Amino acid sequence: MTDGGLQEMGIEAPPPPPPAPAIRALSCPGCGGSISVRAAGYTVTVACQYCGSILDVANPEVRLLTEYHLAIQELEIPLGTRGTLRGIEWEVIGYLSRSERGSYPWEEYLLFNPYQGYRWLVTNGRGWSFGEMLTRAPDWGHHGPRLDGHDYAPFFVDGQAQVDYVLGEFYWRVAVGEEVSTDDYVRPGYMLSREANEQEVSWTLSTLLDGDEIRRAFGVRPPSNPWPPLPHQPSPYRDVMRKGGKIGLAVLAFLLLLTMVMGSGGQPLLTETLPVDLAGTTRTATLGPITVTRPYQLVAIRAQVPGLENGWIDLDYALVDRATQASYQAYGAAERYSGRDSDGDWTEGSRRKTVKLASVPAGTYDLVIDYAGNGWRDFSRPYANSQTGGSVIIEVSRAAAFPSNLILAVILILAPLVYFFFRHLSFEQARQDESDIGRTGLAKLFTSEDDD
Amino acid sequence: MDRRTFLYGLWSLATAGLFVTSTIYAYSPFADGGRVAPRAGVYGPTHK
Amino acid sequence: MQKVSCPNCGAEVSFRSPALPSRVCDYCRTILVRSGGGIEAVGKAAVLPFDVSPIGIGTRGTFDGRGFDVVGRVRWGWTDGSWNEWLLLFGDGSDAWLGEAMGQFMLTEERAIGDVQGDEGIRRLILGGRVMIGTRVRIDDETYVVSDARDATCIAAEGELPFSPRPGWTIHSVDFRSVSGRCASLQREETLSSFYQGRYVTLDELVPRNLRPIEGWPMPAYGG
Repeated sequence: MTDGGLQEMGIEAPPPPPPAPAIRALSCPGCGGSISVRAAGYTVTVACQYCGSILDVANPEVRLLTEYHLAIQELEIPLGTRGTLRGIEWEVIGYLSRSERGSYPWEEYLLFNPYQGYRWLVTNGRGWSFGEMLTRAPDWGHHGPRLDGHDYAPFFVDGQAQVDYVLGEFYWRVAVGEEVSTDDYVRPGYMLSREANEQEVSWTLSTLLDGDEIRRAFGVRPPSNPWPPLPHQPSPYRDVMRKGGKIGLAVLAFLLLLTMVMGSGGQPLLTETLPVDLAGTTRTATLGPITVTRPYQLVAIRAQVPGLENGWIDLDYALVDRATQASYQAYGAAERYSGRDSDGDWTEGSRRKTVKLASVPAGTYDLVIDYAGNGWRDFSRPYANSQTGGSVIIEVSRAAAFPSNLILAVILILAPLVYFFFRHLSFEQARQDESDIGRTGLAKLFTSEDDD
Repeated sequence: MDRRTFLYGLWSLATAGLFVTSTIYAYSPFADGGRVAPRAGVYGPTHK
Repeated sequence: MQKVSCPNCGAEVSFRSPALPSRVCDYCRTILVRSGGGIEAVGKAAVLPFDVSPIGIGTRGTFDGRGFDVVGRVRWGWTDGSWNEWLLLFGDGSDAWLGEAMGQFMLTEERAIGDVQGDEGIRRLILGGRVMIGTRVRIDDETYVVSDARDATCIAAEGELPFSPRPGWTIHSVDFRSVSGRCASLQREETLSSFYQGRYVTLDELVPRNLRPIEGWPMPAYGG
């Protein structure tokens, strides 16, 4: 601070300026109503709040420009209402009803604070935005304007906006019927609007207010989920797509890592060869001991019948704990068929079958197998002879983890993201369908041909 | 973080938790077999 | 600081800047001019119309690290409104104008018109021509757009000023703005032009103190 410089010149701190009243009072030359000018010194035009007459208040003597005796429209936020938005108090001093040459009407409330200047509250009935006129023009980016490092996408182009109705005070000569050409550009949460006439170009940056914000400030309640979405309404799925996507990826990476750390299964705990035939009689074999040491493990039992042809082997397993007689049971079948038809040779089934037993505690076990072989007995088809090769090889091992568990986890983690993605897409499509430009980006990519 | 993201985070954690638990207990809903509850009643041969 | 008695009403008036020759008496609105060692009354300024500007004589602030005091004001009017030009006096004795219109602030400092590298449009203006609003011009190496061009009349004035603010004094005023928020203004009286250049500022960035209290409005935290 260089107050010192001023003091060196012998300039002491001056007394503060005397306080000023906030309002210039005048009476309407049209209807005699008393009007409070709230932005005295700035206000040029007043539309009388009682009769709608347009007054010129630029000079100390008030002039009646256009006399009206209108039924005054009731405003959602009455003139003179004060509200605090983002920490700053504002007073509603003017109201404009505008439209795109008679259609798509919207409303604009002029806000004033003597220390902050002017702002706008804009609504189309589905949401409210808070606008500030810029003192600089945006740069031009790839597809639209660029302001403060953010790109804006064109949304409404080459519009013609007209003023349909005015009430209150304004800092320029406002007139019903006044037209400007408009272009609107958006990014999520923000709209950048260009208004131009022959004389000047102005840019306004509007911020979408959430329902709570505008309700707390001015007591109006916008619809909570406007549909179709507003041009600059951020997709409610944006956050979950970004952060949720990261969470999902991190969890998936963790699960994969865990699966890898758990390692593969070890050496076979037991391998035995049992005799088998296709007579259909059940044989029983008891193999063991099998000792497993982890608190809980997955035990895989693989049956392999190398010579099996046109037959099946049913295998009933029971893994019985020698100490507790607790039994872990499963059923498997190895089956193999082959033949020849109009398409040529075919085979079906597998000579090998692995079954997995879950949650087997540490202990010493016997494996009891009831098994029986059967030949294919459909004599209407000229199959080759059924055969087994005579032996079934049983191999017991400790398996690492269920791949099915991992696949299930991946599906459970991805499914909501896929769902959110499609909800996001339909939100974006509905939003962009309101635009003069139509769908762009993903919303366009995922548009089917008959979908309009 | 919005509510939807928070719920999704919870969902992911729960899924991961279930996965870890099932890995520790070597459990899977897709296993071919598992513990069979011992039958109540008389053990041993039941023929006369 | 030089203190003298108003030759019209006898009230004490002070000249805070040695460089500014004119002063409007706070009590009787007589326009005083320092000439040689004496004080001369050259006319009377009109009463300022009421406005709710947050600035007043005595407001202090900082611009680009340099402290200033608001020491004077001219209110200009044109067919469709009026605006304030506040005179800022810096610690080094230099001055600048803080233009206040439509709730926005433009801070400009005078540049010698001979130093301005202007294009054809600027040269035409200096020679007494007119430009259309929206015309693009080059000033030094930047493109500006004419944002306003109008005849402005001095409505009223107060405080210390670099000229005598005779009521009814009319100039041609042209405002320029660039896409980056820089701005400039050319003011021409008959064939004499002066050129001012600067940028748009917000009240907050000037960290003003001694702002004018306005009834019913909370003063910003910095402004008291």
